[in-house]
Amino acid sequence: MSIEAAYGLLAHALIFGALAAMLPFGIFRARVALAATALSLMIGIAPFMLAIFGAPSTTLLCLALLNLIGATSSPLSRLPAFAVLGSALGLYLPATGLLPGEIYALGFQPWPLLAVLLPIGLLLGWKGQTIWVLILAIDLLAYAGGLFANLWQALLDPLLVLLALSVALREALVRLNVSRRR
Amino acid sequence: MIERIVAPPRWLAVALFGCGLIGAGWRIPTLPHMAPESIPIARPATDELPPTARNSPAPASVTRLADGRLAVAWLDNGDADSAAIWLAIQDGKNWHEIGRIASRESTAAAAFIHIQGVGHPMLWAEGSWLHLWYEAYPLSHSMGASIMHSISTDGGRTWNRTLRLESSPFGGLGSHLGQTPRPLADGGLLLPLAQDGSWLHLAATGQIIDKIRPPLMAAPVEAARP
Repeated sequence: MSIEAAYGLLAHALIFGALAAMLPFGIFRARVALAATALSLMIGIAPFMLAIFGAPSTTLLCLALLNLIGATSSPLSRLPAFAVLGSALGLYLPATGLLPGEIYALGFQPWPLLAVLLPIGLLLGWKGQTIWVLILAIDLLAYAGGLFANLWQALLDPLLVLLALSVALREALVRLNVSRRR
Repeated sequence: MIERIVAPPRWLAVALFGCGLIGAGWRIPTLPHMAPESIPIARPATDELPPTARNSPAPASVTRLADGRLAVAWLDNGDADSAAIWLAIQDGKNWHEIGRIASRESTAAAAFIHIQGVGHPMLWAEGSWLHLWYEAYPLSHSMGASIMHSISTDGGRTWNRTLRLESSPFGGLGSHLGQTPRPLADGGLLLPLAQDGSWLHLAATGQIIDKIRPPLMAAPVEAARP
């Protein structure tokens, strides 16, 4: 068993548990989340998600853990969701061949990424976004610890992009409804 | 309220962020000068291969071991769920079949992933180590592949350290393997990807240290018949 495979499997199980915890189960929420986490390992949901999506980013794992421990609001609000989507466009469009360049390759020798992350982290700290500073710190420490070969893998993954997309769409729908009522 | 408990003091988060930046910078692998090594690439004629390897639906992969013998890995049984990768080593004029070295079951057990099948073996000898890269398909061959890497230190009898190489941002639905790897003077290797002709620059241990495009790549190594 490699540490990377073990991380991927357990992280996907926790993410599935966090998804289950978003359902309205009231006082049974914690038990449902625990049962879903265990079930995803037992019936093969976590290995399937690991095969399709790869190891999840530590960003997504942190968001899932925050949800599991019952944080009242997700740090993935409108602005962070758009930041994730913007980064994802820059990462995935060249990878599909729609744009020239290879942004993903930067993650193997990530000096430019670290240079960009430094002011972002300091800005987030100055703005009091402590949770996001901590999440970025955990991403960097996971890369430093050898959990990922590519820094992008610690920061972003396809599931996180889907989550950010759902947040952005929900926000747009809410705004649309408000503007119609006026 | 719980959020307040979770959030650490700002100075602590910023200090951890600083530690993370320093740690990440310290961990970045050093990029050696990429000089190709002129090792003749073993390419025996098809009729010189073991009979089962000749009927393989994917091209068989041949490498020369440190003691001069040839080793060949091939895919048996094509797209079926039971497809597996086999290994044989040349023993004089005959081939000694070592056995099945990678399959759907062994890959799933080593990497904890659900896969439909395996394919496209690529065998490489580096000193006394044998490297095997192959494709694992989470959905189907056409939906993309994960590139797996496995190592044998006992001449192909046992294989371990089976890992997935994270070569693309699309998780397990990434690019397929290309044709022939190219050795580098520092013991590293350039591993070809089928998608847009990219190459993975691997260290001697098999770790990815960079991903490059053809314009940046060194001149191809001249292939020669053994």
